[in-house]
Amino acid sequence: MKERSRSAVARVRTQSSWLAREVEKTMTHRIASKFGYYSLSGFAGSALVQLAVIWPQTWIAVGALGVLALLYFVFLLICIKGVLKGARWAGVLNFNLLGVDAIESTAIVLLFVVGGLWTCLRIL
Amino acid sequence: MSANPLVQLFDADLNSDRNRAILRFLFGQAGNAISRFFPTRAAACYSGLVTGLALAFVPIAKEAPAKLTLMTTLAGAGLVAVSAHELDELQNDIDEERTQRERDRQLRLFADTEAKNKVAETNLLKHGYELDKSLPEELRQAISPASAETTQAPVDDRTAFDAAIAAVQTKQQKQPNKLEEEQVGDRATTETTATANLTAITPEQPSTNFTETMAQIAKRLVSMTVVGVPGAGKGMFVSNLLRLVRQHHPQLHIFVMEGKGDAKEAGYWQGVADGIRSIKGLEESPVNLVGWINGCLEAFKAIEGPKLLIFDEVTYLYKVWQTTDKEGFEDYIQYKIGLSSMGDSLESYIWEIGQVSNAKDLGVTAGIRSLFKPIAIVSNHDRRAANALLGTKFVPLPEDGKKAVMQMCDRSACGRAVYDYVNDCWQSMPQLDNLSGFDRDTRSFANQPPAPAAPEPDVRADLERLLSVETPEPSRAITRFGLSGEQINEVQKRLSSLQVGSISSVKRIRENSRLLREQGIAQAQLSELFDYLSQTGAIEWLASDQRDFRYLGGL
Repeated sequence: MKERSRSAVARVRTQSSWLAREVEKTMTHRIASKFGYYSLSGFAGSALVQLAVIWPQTWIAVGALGVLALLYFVFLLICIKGVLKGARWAGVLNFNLLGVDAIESTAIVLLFVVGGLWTCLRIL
Repeated sequence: MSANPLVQLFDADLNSDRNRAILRFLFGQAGNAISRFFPTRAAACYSGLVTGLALAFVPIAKEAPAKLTLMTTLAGAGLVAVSAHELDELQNDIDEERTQRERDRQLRLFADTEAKNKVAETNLLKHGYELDKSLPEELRQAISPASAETTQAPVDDRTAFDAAIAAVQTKQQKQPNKLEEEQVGDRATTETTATANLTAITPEQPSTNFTETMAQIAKRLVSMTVVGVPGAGKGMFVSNLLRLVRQHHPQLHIFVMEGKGDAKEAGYWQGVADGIRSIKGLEESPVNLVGWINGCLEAFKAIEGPKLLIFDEVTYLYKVWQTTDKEGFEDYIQYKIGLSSMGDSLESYIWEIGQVSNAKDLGVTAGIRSLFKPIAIVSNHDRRAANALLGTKFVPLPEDGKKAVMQMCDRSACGRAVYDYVNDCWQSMPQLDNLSGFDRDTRSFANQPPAPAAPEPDVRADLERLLSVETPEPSRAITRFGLSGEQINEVQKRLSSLQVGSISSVKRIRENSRLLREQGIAQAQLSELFDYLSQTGAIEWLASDQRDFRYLGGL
């Protein structure tokens, strides 16, 4: 009985230490740091709209960036469709933007658009 | 550590005297408040991040004037950028510190191994059955005169001694069967099989045979690693060896950890092991498996007195352990290193049994692997696997290379050859008793279930005991306290293995001693002796029922 309880305690200890290590491996300050960096993109979108409110000529830049963002999403959609169909050309296309991978670059563009749109809706 | 002074300022503890002084210099009294508010660097970073986000978005949400909103958004963005950068740096520092700690630990481990290797070398010389040729010439010169004089005579004595034993054995087993017949018929006692094999070995073979080596290993225990492909006969070798070990060391606690959980092989350990822990390794989750290993090791460490751990299926178990609980595995390696050098004096040993000899697969460096004595078994049933094993540096090859080893396999009655670390040579393996009851070569069960070893007269052990001056025949006559001299000696030995000041109990002393248990000594019978010991000041009773005591030394 004593030996069994000892081995149960050892098992629980091993399980908890394994869980702690897994959490330690994934939940680092790096996640918060990345979130901070990417939220800057949202700030940029928001600031651009605010600037356009003060200085109307900037609306041209806002419009141009909006079109660029739209093109990016269209490009992304075509890529995803191509990859899903197994088209050879889709594998050649590069998702990278600002030196980060597809999901992160999409998040950056999305945050930029959301920041700008949200500010537009609040201020205008 | 980053060279950025801001990073240094925010490093670790803002409340340190140094950081308080810097903050006081920069912000006056407000500095103290800042350091109290942000006790750590991480807290400062996260506060910056949250404040930045609030600065950027709250004015927009509150529909403040555009100019003010733009200012706060830019300020918030700046704060978030700095905080994110600081968090990144903080994580870099943490990673760097962890790498550095790991590097230090590796270096310490390496230094320990070097030191332990030296100790092991010295031990080896002291035991005298293997001379390391890598030693400096002066050291070899220093030890050779003494050993040259002493070794020659004992060899002659030994030969005469062995001849005498063979004569006595032949006389004892006056049976119509000749030795040559036994060579084919096998399943005789280990000793007779050995004699039979003597005739089978060709003259160019070393003059020793492996059965003698087994007797030497059993007599002079060391920690070792037994390696061989599946079905090579590792289990058979170890189980036969354990029976010999039991003859020479009746008080040794044999603890078996078996990761295969195969009922067919249970016979290997039955009747000889004091504790058997078995698990079906392939059916358990890695976490459960590691928990089981840790539990077993804790139980083994808790055993007092001389002990031997048989760790079977280490190749698989070590792999799972390394992957699941690296730190726990490293601790075990350190424990192993400790045992390899100090285990002899503590009378604690480990025998690992596995399939591969590659140091990486065993989770250690080649240096640490070499601390354990190697035994490698190859068979001519699987020449490819045998060649793969012989291709490693785990054991040296004979001068004629792999071919010579395979020839030894062909000459062996069981088609196997074994590396003998005691004589540093390869030898044909004798036919050993299959104690599991299942023949893996023919995939068939033996006709009869494995019977426990018959109490045969052990002529060799008896003669050695009679001739040896080191181990006088223990007196079994009852002397004092209703106990024999041997039993009192046993209690004394158990007590003296305790640290002075350590707490134990009469029950534990009795339970950990195989001799006392086997001779049916009850706890009550020991009480008189323990009372006497407390009067002489060797122990002190801790409880009124006189069960738990503190050992004070002075035996």
